[in-house]
Amino acid sequence: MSYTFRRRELLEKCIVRGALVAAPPMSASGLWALWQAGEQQASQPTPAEVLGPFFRKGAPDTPALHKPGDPGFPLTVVGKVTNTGGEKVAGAKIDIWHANHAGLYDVRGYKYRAKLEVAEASEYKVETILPGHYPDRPAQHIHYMISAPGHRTLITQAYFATDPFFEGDPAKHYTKRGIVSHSDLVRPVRLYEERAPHAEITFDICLEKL
Amino acid sequence: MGDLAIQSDSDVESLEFDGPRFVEGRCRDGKVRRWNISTGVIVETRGIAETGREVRTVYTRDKAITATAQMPVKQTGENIIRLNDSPAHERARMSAGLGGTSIFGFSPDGTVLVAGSYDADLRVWRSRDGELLRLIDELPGSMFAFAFSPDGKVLATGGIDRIVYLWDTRTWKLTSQFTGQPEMISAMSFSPDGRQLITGGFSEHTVGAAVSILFWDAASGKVLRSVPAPRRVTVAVFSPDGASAATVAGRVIGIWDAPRLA
Repeated sequence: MSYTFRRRELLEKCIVRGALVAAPPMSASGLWALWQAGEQQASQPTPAEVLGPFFRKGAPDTPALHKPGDPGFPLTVVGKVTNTGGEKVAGAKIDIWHANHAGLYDVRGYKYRAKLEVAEASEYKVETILPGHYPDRPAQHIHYMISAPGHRTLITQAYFATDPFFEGDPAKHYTKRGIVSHSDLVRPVRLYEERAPHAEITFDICLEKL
Repeated sequence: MGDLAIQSDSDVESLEFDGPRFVEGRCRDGKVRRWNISTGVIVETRGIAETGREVRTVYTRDKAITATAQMPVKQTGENIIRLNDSPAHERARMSAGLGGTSIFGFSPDGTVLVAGSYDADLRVWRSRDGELLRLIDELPGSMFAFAFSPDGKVLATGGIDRIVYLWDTRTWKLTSQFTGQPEMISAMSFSPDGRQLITGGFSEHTVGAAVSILFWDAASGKVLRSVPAPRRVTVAVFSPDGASAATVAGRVIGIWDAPRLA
């Protein structure tokens, strides 16, 4: 095994994987191991979650789920779609839906609902708001259903590490009330203050190759 | 006779009329309770062995065929429904959509099985061999309740979008849509003469929010009567003589006078 990456490149890759949050003094071999561990994890399919009763077919293919002036804290969700073979998945379809700022789903229309066609680059990005707390499942969440030719359809959900539901410690409290199936689904939240304040999460999707 | 609210000691999971004067409910605490619907008094309580809702089974009326589905408690993948003539003999195993089975049951004559999935599809199979007769994939959202008319000619379904859909069971085409329920629809039944439909609501705010129960003219879609329920309605059934109806919302059983059609 040869180190084909320079230290700086490895650092960047580890940060992208979420394996590192800051740049500590660490040897290139240590970083290499960390990156390898990240790669290993990346080839596991994203854990599944329940679909719930609120899915609706026919949502618009739009990256903008909210309109200017809608109540709620602005949220950007970014991610990429890969598969268990480590390949980018082109042509994936992502159904994404969530409750409004007050925890209420639009059951007759398509507010906070989209069906994205993911291009060649296999990356997606949506602009929306932080979902509120639906009282019967009181952890903020975004629903996903992702399908792509040659892959098992994945039904899952993204959660927010900053959610008060996790009491500041998602690693410890993610099992609370049996809502979240896997700690990987609880995503760190980045907060930005420049211009209009907004939050951002990365939710990468790894589909099981058939 | 007059309307009546009966408070059960435990959540009522299913409820049936036993003649025109009694209802019998299976409760979450594992007991079956029988109430007199004129007085609201419990006339019998007995224990049952079987509880738990991971897997649900429905039967044809003659009990010749059973269908079993995994319920959506922790269902994340493909739904499988099994058709059996006995526990040991499987007739067919059908793929039934994704994300959990929201509704399923046989037609009154037992010849077809209908199931809805949370990914918003409805499927109709021949009970004899599990052959798929129709995939209804044009609905926008999933169905949480269904009922066959007593003569089996009409299937009514309702769910997320608050609309009652009526399907012709010969062609499996949509024949009418009724609007008027202020919430999602989570329970429904036809009256014994097939002329009325009762539906119960499920608020999108929360399971615990108050909802309505509607009586409909099944021919015109006109709402004949609206009464309240304290939370999501899980059962709505008419008595065998059609004079009253019973509904379940958590621990509360509602007994209602059914409207009279000329």
